[in-house]
Amino acid sequence: MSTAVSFRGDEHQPSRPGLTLVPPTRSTVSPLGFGLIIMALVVIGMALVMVITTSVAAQSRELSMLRNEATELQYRAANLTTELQRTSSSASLVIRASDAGMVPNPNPVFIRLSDGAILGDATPVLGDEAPHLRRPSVSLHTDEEAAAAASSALPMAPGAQR
Amino acid sequence: MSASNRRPAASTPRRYRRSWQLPIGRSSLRIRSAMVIGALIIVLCGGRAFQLQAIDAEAFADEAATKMQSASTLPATRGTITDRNGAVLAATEPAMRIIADPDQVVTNGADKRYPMTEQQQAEADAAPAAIAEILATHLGGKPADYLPTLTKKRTDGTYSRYEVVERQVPAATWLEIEAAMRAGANGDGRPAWYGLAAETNPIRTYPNRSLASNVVGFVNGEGVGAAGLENVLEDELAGQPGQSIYDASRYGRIPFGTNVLVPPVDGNNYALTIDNDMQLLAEQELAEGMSTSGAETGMALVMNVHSGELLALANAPSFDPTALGEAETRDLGNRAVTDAYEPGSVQKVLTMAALMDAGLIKPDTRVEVPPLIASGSGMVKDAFSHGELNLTVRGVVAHSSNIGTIRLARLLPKDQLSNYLQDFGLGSQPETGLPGETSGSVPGADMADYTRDQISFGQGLSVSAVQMASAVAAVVNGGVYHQPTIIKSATTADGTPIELPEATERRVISEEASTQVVDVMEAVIAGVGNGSRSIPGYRTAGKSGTAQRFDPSCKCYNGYTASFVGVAPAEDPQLLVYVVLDQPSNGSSGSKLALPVVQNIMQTALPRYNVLPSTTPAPELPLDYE
Repeated sequence: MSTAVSFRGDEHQPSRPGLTLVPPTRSTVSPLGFGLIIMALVVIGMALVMVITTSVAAQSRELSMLRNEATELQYRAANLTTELQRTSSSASLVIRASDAGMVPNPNPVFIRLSDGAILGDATPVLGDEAPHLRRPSVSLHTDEEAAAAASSALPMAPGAQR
Repeated sequence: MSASNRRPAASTPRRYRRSWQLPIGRSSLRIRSAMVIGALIIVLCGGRAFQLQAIDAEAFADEAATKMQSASTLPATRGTITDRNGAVLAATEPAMRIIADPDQVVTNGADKRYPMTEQQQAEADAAPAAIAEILATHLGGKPADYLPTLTKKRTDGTYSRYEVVERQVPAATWLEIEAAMRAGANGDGRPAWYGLAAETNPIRTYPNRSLASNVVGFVNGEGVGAAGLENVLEDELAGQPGQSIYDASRYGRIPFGTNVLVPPVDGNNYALTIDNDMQLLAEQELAEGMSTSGAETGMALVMNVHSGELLALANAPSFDPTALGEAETRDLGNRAVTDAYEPGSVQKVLTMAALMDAGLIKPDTRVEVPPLIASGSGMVKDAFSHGELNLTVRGVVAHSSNIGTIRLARLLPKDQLSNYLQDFGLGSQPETGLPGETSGSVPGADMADYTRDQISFGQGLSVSAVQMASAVAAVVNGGVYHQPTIIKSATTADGTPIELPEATERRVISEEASTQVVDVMEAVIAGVGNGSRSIPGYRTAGKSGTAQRFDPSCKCYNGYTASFVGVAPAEDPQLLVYVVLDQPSNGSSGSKLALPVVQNIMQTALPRYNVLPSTTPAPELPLDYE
C-alpha cells in the first residue's frame, strides 16, 4: 500500500522512493487442487510400483516355466541320445547287416587312390567264411538277437557261386 | 406434623460420607489423562519395536531367512567312457525314481481339512485303478502289479506316505506319466490324478552291453563304480554336485531374493584305446575258439606294437553290465590283467631276444638237440619225441624244442637273463590304469640252475596276458618296451583336455636283435605246417605256447594253458594278437587251439588298420643243418 501522505509543511522533506502497494498474490492452485495433485502423484507412483512388481513376478514365472521346458527338452534329448547309442552299437550293426543279407569279408583288398591299382588278391566272398561272426554268439539280450536266433539259415551272398 | 418430616435441629450440620469423585467433568483433566495413556502405549510399542528391530533383529532375521530359504542339491552328470573313435561304452541318462503317496492316491489329493463331496469320493475310488493303468502303459507289466504299492498301508492301518514304485525310469518316460496324470480321466485335467512324485535317479547306460565289459566295469545300485574303470576312475567320473539356494514362498520363487547357484561340476570323459569293432571281432573269435577247444576261460588281446595301445582286450566268459543278476561273480573281473599264469613256449621269444641282444646267438646258430637233457634232479624232454637233432636256432623255435632252448639259455648268465625279463616288464605291474593288476613273478639273479632252465621255456615264472603281450611287442617293434595303455585321452565335461601321465618307454634290445627274433618267429608260421598256418596276403610271425597249468588247490600241475602270439606283417610288425585258452578239454596244443583264433583276428585287424598286404613272400630259411 502506498500511502500518499503529504503534509503542508512537507516541501522541505527529501523525496523518498514512493512505496507502492504490492498486488495481492494470486495462488495458482487452490488448496483442494493442490491436494488432488499430490494424491494423483501418489496414485501414479503406486501404479508404477504395482506395474513393475507385477511384471517382475510375471517374468519370474515365465522364467520358471521356460526352465521347466528346458529341462523337459533335455530329458527328451537324452532319451533320444540313448536310443541312438544303442542302435549304433557294434553288435546292433552286425545283426542289422546280417538281416540285410550282408556277410563278413575276411579278405578285403586295397585300392590305391593315386592310380587305382588293386593291392591284394581279390577273392569273391561265398558267405560261409566266418559264420560265427554273423550272429554274435555272445548273448546280447537284444530283441533282434532273439529273433535272429530263431532263423538259422545262412543266406547266400548275392551273386556268389559255390 | 410428622416427626419424620421434621428436620433435625440446626445445631448439628449434616454429615455426608466422604466419597471419591472423579473429576471427569473437567475437560482439561480428560485431555491430560488421555495423552498420558496414549504416551504410555506409544512408549510400550516403541520399546517393543526397538527390542525386536534393534536388539533381537539378527535372531528373527535368521529365523525368517531359514523359513524362506530352500536349498536343493544339483547332481553332477557322470562322465562318459567311449572307445578310441568316440563310440559310447558307458553313458548316463537322466532318470527318476517314481514314488507313490498311497495316502494321496486313495483320496485323490483331496484337502483333508474338509469332508469329501460325493464327486470327490467317486474320483478317489477310481484313482488307484486309473493310476495303475497309467503306470502299466508306460512302465510295462499289468495294472494289477502296481495296485498293492499304490494302496499300501502301514502296520497301524493308516496309509503309507512313501512307497517306491519303480527305480531308474528314463526321465522322458516320467514326463509322459506326469502328463497322463495331469490329463486325468477325461483328458482335460478335471479331475486330474494325484499321488505320484519323482526323485532324480540317473541310469548308467551301456549301449554296447557286454562289449569290453571287463574293461569298463559297472556301477552299483547307487551309481558308484564297483568294478573296472568305473571303479578306478570313480572320483574323476563322478564330478562334484552343486547347490541352488533360493528364497521361496508358497507361490514359488521370490524374485530378487537370495539366489545363490553353485553349478555342479560334471565328471570327466574318457576315451579308451579300445576299438569297439575290433573288440567285437576279437570277442566273437575268442568265443568260437573257446567252444572249439572246450576251454574254461580265455583271453584275447590286440595291441599296436609301436605305441603299446590295447586295441582290443577280450575276456571269456564275460558279463552284461545291464544284466548283472545273470553274471557269475568270477567273470566280473579282468583276467587279462589280474590272473598270472605260466606262459609256456611263448616265453622262448623273450629268451631268444635276450640271447641275440647279448650277441650270443643268431638265427642260423647251430644247436645240437639231444632227446633228453638233465636239469636239476630230473630230465626235460620235448613235446615231440626225437633222437639227436641238428637244429638252427630258427629250428629250435619253429619246432618249440625245450631242450634246444635250455642249451641256448645256459649260455647267458642268470642275472642277465633275469634283468632282461624284468626290462621286458615281467615281474612288475604294467600300470595300464586297469584295477587289480598282478605283477606276476620272475625269479631273481639268485635263481637255481634248474629254475633258469625252466623259465627259458616258460615254466617256473608267472605273467599276465597284458605283460606277455607288451613284452613280445617290445621284442618285435625294434626293441623298445612301451608301457601298455588302455586310456587314450580324457577331457573335462566342457571339452578341455586333461593331461594324462605319459606312458614310459625304454629300449630293451637292439634293432638288429629284434629283426633276428622276428625272423625266427616267422619260421613258426612259414616253416611249419606247409602254409596251413599263414593268412592270405600277409607275412605273419608268431609263437605257440602249451604250458602246464599250476593248480593251487592240489599244488600240482593239472591241465594246460594253450596260447599263441602272432605279429604282422613280419617284414615290419605293426599289430600283435595274443590269445590264451585256459584248461582246454579238446586237446592242449597252442598251435592247434589258439593259433587259428589269432590268425582269424589278425586277418580282420590288418586291413582294418590299413596295413598293406605283403609284397614279398616269406623267406625259406633253414630250420636244421646237416
